[in-house]
Amino acid sequence: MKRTGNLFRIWDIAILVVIFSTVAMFFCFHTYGEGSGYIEVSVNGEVVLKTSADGVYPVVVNGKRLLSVVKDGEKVRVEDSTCPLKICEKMGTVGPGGVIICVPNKVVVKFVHTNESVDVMTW
Amino acid sequence: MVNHSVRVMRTALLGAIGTAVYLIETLIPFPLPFGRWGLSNFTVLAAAIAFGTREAVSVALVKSLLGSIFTGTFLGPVFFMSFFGNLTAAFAQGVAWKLRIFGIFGVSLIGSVVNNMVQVTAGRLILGSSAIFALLPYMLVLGSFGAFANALIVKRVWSHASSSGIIFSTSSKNVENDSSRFQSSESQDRGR
Repeated sequence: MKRTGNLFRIWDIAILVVIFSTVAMFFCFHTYGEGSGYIEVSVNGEVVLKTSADGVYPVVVNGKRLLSVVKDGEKVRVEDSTCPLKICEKMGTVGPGGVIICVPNKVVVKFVHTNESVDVMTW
Repeated sequence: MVNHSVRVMRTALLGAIGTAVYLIETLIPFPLPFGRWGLSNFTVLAAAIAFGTREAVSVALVKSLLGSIFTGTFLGPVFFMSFFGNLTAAFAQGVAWKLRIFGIFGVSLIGSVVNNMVQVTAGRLILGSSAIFALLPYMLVLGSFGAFANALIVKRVWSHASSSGIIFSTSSKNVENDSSRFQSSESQDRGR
């Protein structure tokens, strides 16, 4: 059977609706940028820092500095990363509920949205 | 059956075009610091529609390997994310087209969704943290625009191929017809 090269068919629209509905639901139930919380830095899946205090926190693994996490009020950003493309730095500042990921260094910086406050906990 | 060298030639051509677009599209601004529009995936989509799942996966393989070598990410964590994402997306697009219920856009969209989901799953395994799933909604929305652009390109290629008298093969029957035409022109040449 010869097929016509239709750009759209009904099932295409159905998939598009499912995708956008799922994303809309995610944004409805996920809060960004408001309230307060603490930052949680993990390397290779292990939490190495948890704090709600402002400051510059270098992330060092086996004596090698990977990057610095800067917490400034209700914002957090990454500076001086050793990764080649610096995507984590380009992600800029994120607020509570946000996340910065550095895949080459396997570092995840999460701004956990909560009313609790954590002074400083390092591992 | 299609000649093996024809398959190799098609894969090499589409893989080379895909790699070139992959490199050029790094110059196109993207709203997020991570990810890209994925315009090079139109070659995989075209292969899935015109030649089938096997060639789509082959094109994705060539494109991923060459693209990562040229961008300097080969065998790094980012490479594994995009490599597995591209390969599974190519497979998914081939299968989706065979189902005969999706249009070109639908097949492209399925490829985009599968690519993004496999990438974040691979990222989850590499990073050991599920925080990467927070990026998935952005990737899905922006990926839909990329999928639409890819579908438009392939539709244009299809229209152009049809108007030029080339069968944009969509079934094994057409591939066989292509092959027999190829053989008959060869025998005509020999006859001259």
